[in-house]
Amino acid sequence: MDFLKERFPDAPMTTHVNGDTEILVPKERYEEAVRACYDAGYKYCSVVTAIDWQDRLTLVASLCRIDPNEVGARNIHIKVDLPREGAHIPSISKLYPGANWHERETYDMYGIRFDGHPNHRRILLPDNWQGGHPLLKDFVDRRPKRPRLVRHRFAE
Amino acid sequence: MEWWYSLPPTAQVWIGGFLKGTLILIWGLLNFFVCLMLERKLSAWMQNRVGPWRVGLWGWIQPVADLLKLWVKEYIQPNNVDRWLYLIAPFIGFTTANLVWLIVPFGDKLIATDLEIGIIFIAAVTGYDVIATFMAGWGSNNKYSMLGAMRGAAQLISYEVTMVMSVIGVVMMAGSLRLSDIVLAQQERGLFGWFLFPQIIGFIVYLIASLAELNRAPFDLAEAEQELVAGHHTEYSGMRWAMFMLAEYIHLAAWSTIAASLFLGGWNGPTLGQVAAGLGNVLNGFGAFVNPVGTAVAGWGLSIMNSTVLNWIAGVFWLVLKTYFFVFLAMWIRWTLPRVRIDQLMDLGWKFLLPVSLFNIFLTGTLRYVAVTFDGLPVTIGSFTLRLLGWWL
Amino acid sequence: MERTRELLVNMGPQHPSTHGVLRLMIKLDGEQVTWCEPDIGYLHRCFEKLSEQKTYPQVIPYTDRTDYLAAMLNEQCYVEAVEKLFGDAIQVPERAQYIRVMMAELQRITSHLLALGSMAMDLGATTPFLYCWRDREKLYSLFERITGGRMLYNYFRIGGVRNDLPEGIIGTPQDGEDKSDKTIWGFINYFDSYVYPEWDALVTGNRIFQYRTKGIGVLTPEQAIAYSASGAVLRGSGVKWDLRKNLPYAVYDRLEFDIPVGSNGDCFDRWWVRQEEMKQSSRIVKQCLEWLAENPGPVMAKVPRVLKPPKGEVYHRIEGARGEVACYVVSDGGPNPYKVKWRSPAFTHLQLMPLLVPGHKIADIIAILGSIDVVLGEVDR
Repeated sequence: MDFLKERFPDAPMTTHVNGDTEILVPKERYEEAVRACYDAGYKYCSVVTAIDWQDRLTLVASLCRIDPNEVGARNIHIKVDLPREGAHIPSISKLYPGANWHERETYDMYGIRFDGHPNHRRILLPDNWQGGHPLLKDFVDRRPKRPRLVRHRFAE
Repeated sequence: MEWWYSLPPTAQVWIGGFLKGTLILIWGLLNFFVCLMLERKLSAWMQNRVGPWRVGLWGWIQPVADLLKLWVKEYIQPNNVDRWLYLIAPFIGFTTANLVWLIVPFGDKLIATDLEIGIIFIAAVTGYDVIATFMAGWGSNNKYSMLGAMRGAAQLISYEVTMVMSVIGVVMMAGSLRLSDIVLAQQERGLFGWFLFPQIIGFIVYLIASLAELNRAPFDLAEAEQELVAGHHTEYSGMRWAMFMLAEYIHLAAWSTIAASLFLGGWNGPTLGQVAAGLGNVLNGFGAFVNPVGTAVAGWGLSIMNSTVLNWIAGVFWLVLKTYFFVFLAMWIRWTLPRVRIDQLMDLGWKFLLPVSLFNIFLTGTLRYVAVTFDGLPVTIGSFTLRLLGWWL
Repeated sequence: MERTRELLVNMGPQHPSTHGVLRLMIKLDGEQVTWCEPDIGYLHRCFEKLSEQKTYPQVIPYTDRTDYLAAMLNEQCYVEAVEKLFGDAIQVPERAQYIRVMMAELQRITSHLLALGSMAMDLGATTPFLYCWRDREKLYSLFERITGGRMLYNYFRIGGVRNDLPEGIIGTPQDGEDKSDKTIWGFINYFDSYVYPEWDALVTGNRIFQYRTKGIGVLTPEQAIAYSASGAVLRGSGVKWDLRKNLPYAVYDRLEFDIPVGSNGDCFDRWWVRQEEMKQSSRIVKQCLEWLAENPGPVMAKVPRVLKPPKGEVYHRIEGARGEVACYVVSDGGPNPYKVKWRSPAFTHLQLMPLLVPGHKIADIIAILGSIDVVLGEVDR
């Protein structure tokens, strides 16, 4: 945690009730923060998700250090505040391949675009789904109540 | 039987053929019935369940219900199938499975056609299996079927060679390709005259290779349910699929019968007359007061000992017993072992089983024509092979 | 001039061996796979959106249904996360903690049994699958007596568990196989003496099985950590990381157990790690049973009627059956959670498929998928 305090002295750092550290970095310094954690040994990305406060989105990337001899090591949550419309942020999936699908899910559910993601499409919902991004608080389900039946043509 | 001999020869051939064909079909279907029932019950008991239970007493007529259902089921045929290939494939499989019954000796001179080329005929007929699999796979216009068919064809062709090679040892010892001669040779060799003992290497190779030929686990890649849904018969439904199922189980029964004839002595076994005579003698040995019963039984036994029909019945009984020993073995192996992968299957067939069967042929040939004494005892092929196996294992 | 093309095959949502509705798109060059990508979302039931509209206790049955094969482990994750939010206001009684740990370990045993059984079935050995169900049925009877449910329970509560263990369910250490579906000691004794050697003889020691799984789907430790693997997948690759030891929660720091670690990172090692973990789980259950038999007490803390945790966020991780199950709960002080994010291990592990599968044959896809052990309920939520 101290290395983060040194590099980002003016970023608010709080501790959760269970001991995890969270740090709120501005969007431009997100990649730098992630890289700093990676270099300090936090090579395991636990989850990438977002929280929808009514006025803004907050991206959360949770990183962890896997050391078999260490007991009680806590995560670092790197948070970034993003606008609700048109949010985009660099992807960390080159550094943490395990974050690949988590970022896709965050895009699917919240609409945050990840620049540089190798496979940037929806994951849980169908690829061409037009209804918006469900986990946003102002999401309204606009699907037609009766499914429109389309005659299926068997290809070739 | 005068009316039979009064018929012109062509009529005899045709009517006789027709009758034999019908009997063969019926025998095949009976075997299918029993095999299917055995498979379901055995697999259930091995897996801690009971299998078919409600249809008939303890589910014994479940296969009839299944066949009836399949008969009336709708044929779902995908678009763009290669019509002739798709339709004919199941029938080729079924027909050729039944052809194997033609040369099986059910008793002394109780055989449909005593072909001089017995074993080679079986090998030839098995080749059609490959064609049937491939036609089904290609004709279904389905990638899964195609994959299953290609795997199946590769597997069947590889193991055909191995299987025939493993049987050559038996042929060399019997001196003839005819199955009835092979069975008689085993009868002449006496008490432990079965070709199982001298040809134990050949037997094991034959067992593995025939499991592969029959597409049974652990070699059921062509229809690996977990990987390819159902392989080459994915797109078949109703009676067409039933034909594949029939073909598989009749093949199993037919191959087990061949194995029983080649290695376990076929229809040899004590007939009713012999059993009765022996029993009578045993009873006589117990003392004078049993003598009347003993001599009566022995006498009755001796009197029926030469009755052809009763001997045939005894022959069929022993053949069926030995056949179902193999069927049980095949089923036991199926429900115990996992499946091998296709390249491991090929490795096993070409790199291990074929050399072993060739070695078996070499061994048989050498020991048959070279009299070797070892430790003062004449070495029979059986004892030599068993010593070899003991050393290897 | 003939040109060979790669065959694009769809192991579609309906398939006998993808464990649930999973679609695998595969490009084949003959029998060799050149590209594999999973397509998920067929079982998406909007768990996270729904939980924002329910109260805190009402979310617990939803967590059951994510990983439905080991339901109480998920409940434990969520319930402990919310209890952390409350901080010192809720003190979970010790007996409740021990009951939770015991149920969690029994669930781990059931989950691993099914994972091993279905992987064996996928490889062709159908019989072990039915043996796994035989043993799971015994556990189901036990669970039904304790919690009321066979597969999905809603047993853990925020502050403890719903009810204490019924009379006589613990049994005595001398219970044998005849009591294996009536008392927990009976089951554990039966499990130790009978089940484990059976699996060893039938599948793990089987040459054909070893040929099918050794050397397949090798995952190096660096790759495992980079791809966020956890649980048996990570331990199979040689990394000795178990959240029960490295980040203890509940009463795991008072219990004695070992962590089995593989060496090669192939399918066989992941299989073997799961098999050994079952043994360790039964060790833990025995210790819990001894403690529970001697220490009666309350099983539920005093909690208010309407649960309103103070504002805050917590990210709680536990060692689930398949890996690291984690729950990110955000509370805004109201009766409904503001956000519940469910981090499921199977979702993260499916990312390994495009890495591990290319270069192998079709038959190996199934082996790899089985060794990664996915449950679609967890993947899609």
